[in-house]
Amino acid sequence: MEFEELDVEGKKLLLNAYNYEVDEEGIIIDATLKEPVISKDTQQLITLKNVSLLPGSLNLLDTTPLTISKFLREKIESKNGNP
Amino acid sequence: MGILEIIIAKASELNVFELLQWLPTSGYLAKLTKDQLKKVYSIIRQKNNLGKFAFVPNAEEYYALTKLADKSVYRDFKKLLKGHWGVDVVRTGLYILSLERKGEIDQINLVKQQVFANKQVSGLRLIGMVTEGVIKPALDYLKELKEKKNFSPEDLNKAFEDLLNEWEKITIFVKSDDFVETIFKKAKNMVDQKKQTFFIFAKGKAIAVACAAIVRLQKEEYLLEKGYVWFAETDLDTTPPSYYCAAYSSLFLM
Repeated sequence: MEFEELDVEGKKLLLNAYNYEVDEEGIIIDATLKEPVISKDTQQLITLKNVSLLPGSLNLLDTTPLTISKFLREKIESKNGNP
Repeated sequence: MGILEIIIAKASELNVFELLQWLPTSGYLAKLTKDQLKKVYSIIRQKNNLGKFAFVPNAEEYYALTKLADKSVYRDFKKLLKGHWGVDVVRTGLYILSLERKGEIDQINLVKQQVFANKQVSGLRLIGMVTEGVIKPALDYLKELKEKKNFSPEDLNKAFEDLLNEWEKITIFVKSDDFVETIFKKAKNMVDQKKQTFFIFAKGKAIAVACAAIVRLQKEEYLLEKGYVWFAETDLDTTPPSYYCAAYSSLFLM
């Protein structure tokens, strides 16, 4: 998997494709539920600035070194035979 | 050729990253009907679901954390303490160590706040064990318990939790102006208090003092008689090493 940095418009477009919107404060909104997306890991609102858009349909991660570590371990390394 | 056909033709040549860069600047999106836009979204999803790319705020951070999976401390922790809540904290601690070497103090403080918010005080204690180098001898000690005392995974987890809760109290932090004899006496005091494990830790110029104290302790049969075995860890990523940590553990006191 390659990690890439997208600009704001690219990120918004990808989010729109999966039925998410971004409000004027940069908070990501579930367009179906009309509610902000809250991270299960950090219990924080997920913002456009700090989101990682991860494959597997589209997973939204509130990005910190701790959440990245969890993602790498659970989704990348376990698939490579290193659970 | 209509706009949608132009987009479809172009999309067939691009991966999802290239497509997401090209589309917003193409000027085509605003001209699409609602149904055409749905089709474009479908193309984006199809390409993204191939799973080749992750779009992240800081790619360098992801790659740095990916590499840390190769560190022996991380591998040993995962192997010895399967399913432990702290496995991701250990990798985060190793990442903080790399930030320390770059002098990125603000970033370090931010990461520690994030760990505290998610894993509370125990998370910060574990970060401390990693950044102070105590984790490596602690894991060596657990290996001894596993191999020589046949500790079960549950017993190992319990032994580690005990160490985690107490490590700051059972660590002799050596200062550069300490006397060797002072460290020696503090170590003997730990033995007299029947501490099953204790650590001697030093940074920078204090490393020489710590090493001299350890040489003195090794000559002393008192520790040997009490069944204490010795593990050491030094920071191999920097020259000279930025820290040195020794652990003494009594196999008699288990």
